[in-house]
Amino acid sequence: MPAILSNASQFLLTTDFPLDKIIYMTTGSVDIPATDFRDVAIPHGLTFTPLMDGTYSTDSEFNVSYDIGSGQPYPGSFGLFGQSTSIEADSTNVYLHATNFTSGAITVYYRLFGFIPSNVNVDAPATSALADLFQLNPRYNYAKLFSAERVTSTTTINHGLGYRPQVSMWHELGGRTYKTLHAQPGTASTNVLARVTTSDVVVSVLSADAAHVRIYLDE
Amino acid sequence: MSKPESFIYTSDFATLKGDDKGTISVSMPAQILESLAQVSTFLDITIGSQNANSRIRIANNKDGNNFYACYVYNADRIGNGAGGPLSYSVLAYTARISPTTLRVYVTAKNPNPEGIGMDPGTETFTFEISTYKSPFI
Repeated sequence: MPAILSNASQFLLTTDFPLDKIIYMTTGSVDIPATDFRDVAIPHGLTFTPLMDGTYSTDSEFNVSYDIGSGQPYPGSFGLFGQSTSIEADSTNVYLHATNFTSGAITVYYRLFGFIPSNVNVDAPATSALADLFQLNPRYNYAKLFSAERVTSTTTINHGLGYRPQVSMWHELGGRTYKTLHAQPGTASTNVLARVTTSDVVVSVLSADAAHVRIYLDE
Repeated sequence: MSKPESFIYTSDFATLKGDDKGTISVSMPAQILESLAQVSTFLDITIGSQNANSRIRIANNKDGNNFYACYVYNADRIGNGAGGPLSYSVLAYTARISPTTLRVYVTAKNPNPEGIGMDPGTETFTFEISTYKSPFI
């Protein structure tokens, strides 16, 4: 029986749609002097290139954390943030780029996690060590994956949900897969674009080799 | 080990948990941008649990109000300099300023060595923000 989308999004968990599965996790820190940057290469040990995401903080307790691609406001500078990060991976390593735009040294503490691309169907090492704790908790809504696709040209993915869903994007370029952070509509110099409507996600592959798109049932 | 794509759910793999969602719009009226300067305006929104990640969709009224999945939206514009049209950028992005408060920015940046008048009309960016909890929290 086909899934009823209008019902599925109301469930914490439904067998009609899979949950995200994290196949890689890592944490660490890197010291960055004032107005400098660091590139951190982390061997991941996987047999494929993961789709990476994560958060970071400038304090070890993670009192305030930032998305990859965001940071602390830094008024007065010509940049946007006091520090910036980006993340990418290839078949061997995860690469975290961290830049410190401020006039003082900082430490970037990072928590990174990865998904398996939709065009890969191999075993992956377990990441859950919660055998004695709850795996599912009805206090939470678990984001349900509507679709995960890899596209190499402009593609319209119809979801028909009637609302704009959550979308995550990565792009492949030169043998690496990057977490997509920027959108610059109207120019071919941007890597990929995901235009999200209440019925479709239109993925434009511009200055990239391919795009990975994950569309969720959840708004 | 197991193949994650073979299962709807498996206890072998950590997962993500939905957290919060909200919408906010920030506007910037057309104005004069000084040489090599930037002007910002912002609003704050209380959204998300501490250490939650975000997925964001951003739309701009001058670009057809099309929502794009991104963390930084860069809009190219043409302004008026003393000698004629000059390019500048308008950017929309977010920055977390406290564990549960997100600051939503619109920034106009003039890269030219002379002042320019921005493209007429108000720039309005609308942010649809969804947060989720990573397996670390």
